[in-house]
Amino acid sequence: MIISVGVDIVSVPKVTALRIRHGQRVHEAVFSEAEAHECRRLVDAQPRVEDDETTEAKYYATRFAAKEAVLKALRIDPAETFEFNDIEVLGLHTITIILRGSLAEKARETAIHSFSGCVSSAEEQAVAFVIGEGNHDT
Amino acid sequence: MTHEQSGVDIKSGVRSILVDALRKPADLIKPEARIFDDLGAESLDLLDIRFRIERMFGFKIQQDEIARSVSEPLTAQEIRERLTVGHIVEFVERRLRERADAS
Repeated sequence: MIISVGVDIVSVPKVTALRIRHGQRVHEAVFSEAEAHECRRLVDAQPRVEDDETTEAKYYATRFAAKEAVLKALRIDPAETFEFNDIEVLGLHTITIILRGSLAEKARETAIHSFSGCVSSAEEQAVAFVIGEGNHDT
Repeated sequence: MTHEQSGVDIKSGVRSILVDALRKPADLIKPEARIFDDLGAESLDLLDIRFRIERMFGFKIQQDEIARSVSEPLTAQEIRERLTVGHIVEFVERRLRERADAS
């Protein structure tokens, strides 16, 4: 059954500016190695309908939107201890979400067994919608 | 360059970070100005502010630390309503004091 849902929209140029300005620190705190690997694979494999920078920008913006959507679905307060890279978001349109650390614990507390969702993006905006599913009897 | 290297004082340093990160005029960055409601920050901006503070003042910040500088236990919505420029200045001052005490 659906326990909770979350949605978020972010500015693609703002995520790109954050990555450019803070470089490795953003990748250390916000994105996982698996996400970076998937993005590189996507850039290498894509037909050239858009440039590499645009593909990367949309990829990371949709990751960030999905992470924010998961935080909303878990009803996480900003003062709770977590890092954004405790949420791993893989996949291009339909996404797989893996939680680690305190966020995995929070999901167990709220009886959420798994998250699923989807992301989409345009030039300026990236959006994510996630569903937390579980069973209140467990 | 850290604030010690550049000789920037804490309040001026935090103000310049907020001017740049939030793209607001310096005269709006008052101690009582609320980061989200008055200055229009989004969660991405808070990350930007966090990483700029780390670079300028030379210490790492956990994701939740700035929000926790609003001392009382509050909900996400209450933190959004109450986090001010003054809270961020006090947070940086406290972290720098802790670092000085430890050395």
